[in-house]
Amino acid sequence: MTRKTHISIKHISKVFPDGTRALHDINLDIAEGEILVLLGPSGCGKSTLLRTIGGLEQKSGGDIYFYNKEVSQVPVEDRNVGFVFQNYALFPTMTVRENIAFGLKLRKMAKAEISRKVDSLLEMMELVEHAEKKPRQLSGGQQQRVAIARVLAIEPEVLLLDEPLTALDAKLKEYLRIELGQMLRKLGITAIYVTHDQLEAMSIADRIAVMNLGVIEQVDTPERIYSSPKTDFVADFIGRINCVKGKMVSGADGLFVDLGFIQLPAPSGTEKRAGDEVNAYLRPEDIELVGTKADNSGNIIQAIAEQCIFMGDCYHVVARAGNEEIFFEVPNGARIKIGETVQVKLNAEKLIVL
Amino acid sequence: MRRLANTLFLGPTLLLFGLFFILPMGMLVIFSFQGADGFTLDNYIQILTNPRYSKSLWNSFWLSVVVTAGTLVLSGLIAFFLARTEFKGKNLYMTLITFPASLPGVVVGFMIIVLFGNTGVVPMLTRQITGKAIGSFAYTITGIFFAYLYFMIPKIVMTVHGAVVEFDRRLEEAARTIGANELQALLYVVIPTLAPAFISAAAISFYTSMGAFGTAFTLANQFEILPIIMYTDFTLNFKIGSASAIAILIGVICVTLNMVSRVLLEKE
Amino acid sequence: MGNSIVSKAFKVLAFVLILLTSAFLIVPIIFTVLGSFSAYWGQTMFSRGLTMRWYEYVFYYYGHTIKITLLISAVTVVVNTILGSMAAYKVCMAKNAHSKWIKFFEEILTLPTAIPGIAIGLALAQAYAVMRQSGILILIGHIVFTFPLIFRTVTGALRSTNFRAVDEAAASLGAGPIRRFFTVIFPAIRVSVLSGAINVLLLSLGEFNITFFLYTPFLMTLPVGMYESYASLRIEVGSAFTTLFLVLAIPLSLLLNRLNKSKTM
Ligand SMILES: Nc1ncnc2c1ncn2[C@@H]1O[C@H](COP(=O)(O)OP(=O)(O)OP(=O)(O)O)[C@@H](O)[C@H]1O
Ligand SMILES: [Mg+2]
Repeated sequence: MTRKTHISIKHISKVFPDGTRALHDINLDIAEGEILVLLGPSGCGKSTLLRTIGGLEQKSGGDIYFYNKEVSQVPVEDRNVGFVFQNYALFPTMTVRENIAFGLKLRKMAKAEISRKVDSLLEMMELVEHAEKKPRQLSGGQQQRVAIARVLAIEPEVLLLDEPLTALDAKLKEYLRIELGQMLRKLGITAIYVTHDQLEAMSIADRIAVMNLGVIEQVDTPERIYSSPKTDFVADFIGRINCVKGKMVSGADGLFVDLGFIQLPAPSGTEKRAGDEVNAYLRPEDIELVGTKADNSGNIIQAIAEQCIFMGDCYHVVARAGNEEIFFEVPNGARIKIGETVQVKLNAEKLIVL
Repeated sequence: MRRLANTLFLGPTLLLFGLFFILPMGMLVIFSFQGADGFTLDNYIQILTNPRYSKSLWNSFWLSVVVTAGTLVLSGLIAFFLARTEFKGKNLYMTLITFPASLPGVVVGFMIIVLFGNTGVVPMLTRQITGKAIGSFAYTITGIFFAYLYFMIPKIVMTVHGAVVEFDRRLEEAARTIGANELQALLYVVIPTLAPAFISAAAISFYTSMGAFGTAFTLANQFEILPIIMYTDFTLNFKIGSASAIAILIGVICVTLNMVSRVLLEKE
Repeated sequence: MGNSIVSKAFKVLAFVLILLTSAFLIVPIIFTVLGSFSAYWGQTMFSRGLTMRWYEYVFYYYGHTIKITLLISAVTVVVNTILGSMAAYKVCMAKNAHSKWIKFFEEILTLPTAIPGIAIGLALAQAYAVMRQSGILILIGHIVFTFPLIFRTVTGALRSTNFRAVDEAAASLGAGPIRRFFTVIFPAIRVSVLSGAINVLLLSLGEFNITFFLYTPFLMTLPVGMYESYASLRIEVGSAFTTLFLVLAIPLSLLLNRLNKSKTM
């Protein structure tokens, strides 16, 4: 399925008046109806990029297109973007109803139509009984729904959400994460969603753009971001992963990665060549404890257990293999003593070499 | 020991306030209800019925209203400017424009003489440019109006500046993204949200203008506003009763509005 | 598009108003200082040269008002610093600090700043007419009127941190109230006390409204003297007199600014 490109960002950069370089040559295409998540550590420029797209911040260079139309001269109020802020920014002096109706009133819509529309949004967001309350009388989750209803009222072309769940407690966050994802899908609206929470990103995104220090490191589906990170930063930032320094060597039947304690076949399609110094990554779930009398199909190493931490549903094991430390998880049944030598099998097919 | 400490810490203050604040103010209240033969409300009634007093009440009221309106607009502009613009020398600028708040009323009057007196800066300047002196109104009601602005603006800038700085700009941005232009965002979101601070500022400005004396007296000691009328009644006409009644009236207005402004600011 | 023109026009207007207002506030102060050195305040400021004549005049005829004001203000500051911080301490540390009585008491002690000076002046002048000649009434008026400034600052400082706990800790170690106040509490709030004291000093130096009801021709304060010079003397004399006042007031208010900044940091 190829969809029309909705938002196209070309070479956007942003330098704040105080000299802070927040964005550096950002390129990104977002398809119609797509949910794109901007993910990255604090201060990496996610909000700045989102605000620049929304017109709340002036870009320093580059262009932003909505359907091939350059929008940097279009003032915020005419861009027709719905912006949901982290703390919702509800108007404290207005009731829930007035908050939602505000954009429609500005559009000089007829009174009857406004109230019809607001009523249907109140219903959709399950806010009917709170319609006449002021924002401060609402819970965090309710405020968040008002914030979304307020922007949906103007039927925005694009929805921009800046950490809409961060201010909520963990339980509610988990619930709303699913809810919000479903709602965005149902609306079929193009959405850019900023978060620094990976779980949130994974569960909501069609594609994730991982940002670091003002640049986009990788844009991909959540699955590919997880399974084939393109840069060290992405590999390290997403999920938990073992990282071992290695060297490419050529062996009898092709290219291998020498990790010191073992040589693993290099992933197919790698651009590395023999002699290259590399970082090899393997996720803990791709390391499996095998019995002492296990099959000798290869890629099995001996390691000395150094730590064994109970995690509830499993044990987290840190073990020494040669000069390297690796970690993995073992099921509750398998008791490992510290100092014991264990045998583990590395799933070489999942090896990532960067 | 405890008792001794209490007496030591609070005793002198209590004595001072009892003798030189509560007692005199109480006597002022009594005087204000005293007529030629005992208790009377005449002193208060005449403020509304006797043209000499009702006119000055009217003048005081309107002067305060106009000063308050002008002060709110100009101080509001400056407070927003200070909160939202970064420039070199901002600290110095802030120090300079808030300094007049610490000037005594008489000096404020003099500042107006320097600007708008017969040989003031503005008339002199306009004469050099246009050949005709314009703006030598220091000794008129216009002069008093400007003088009151002169001490109210710095004070109100300081009062509202904090609220403006703390105003969450995302509210404004939220309004913009759902279709409000800058002016609409200001009108429908920023000002209503800051309303408590501005109403409180208005209360302060109004009561300060109602009770101010030195400034007006410096510029026009014949001008008919309540504080000057009160002074004249006391010193020249020896009408203790009516002077006291005016003082109490102004005092009540000031204390009430002072309370209003404090409650509103605390809400913030 | 129309909107953006309106908001541009609005911005330009706002900027012009800000400029004019700033000039309005600052220009007369500058001209006052310049004028005080000008031999003749005319078309151009120094057309007839510079002079110190006006200062000599002020010192000769009004020197005593400066002395009296300095004396009254000094006594006011000392008395209020002591009374104000002790009262604040007692009010904040009282066992029943949140009782209605304490609240009411606090209201009374802060009332003098809310009541216009002329009302207080009139009240004192009527109640203690006999004391007027001695001048002590002016001093008392100043003390009562400026008391709330230091009282409020210090109560604010005491409440902003949990001094009750500190005070109770010291008490549990056996320190009496006076000792606690001077060894534990006072050192921690001295910046606030200082800024309150400067506030008192500034207000007292410039106090006119109360004093005007209480002064006698032989006991005239600086602001009353200034008033007289404005009303009946050349503008150059008024300028010199005002400049002398500014010389007192400007350093104090700069210091106050500095203190307030260091407090909030
Ligand atoms: N108005 C501003 N002036 C100067 N620097 C700014 C401004 N706003 C943001 N920055 C800087 O730009 C960089 C990116 O900020 P941004 O708010 O986009 O980060 P973020 O990725 O959204 O972080 P967070 O997850 O903490 O919200 C940071 O270094 C920040 O300090
Ligand atoms: Mg952010």
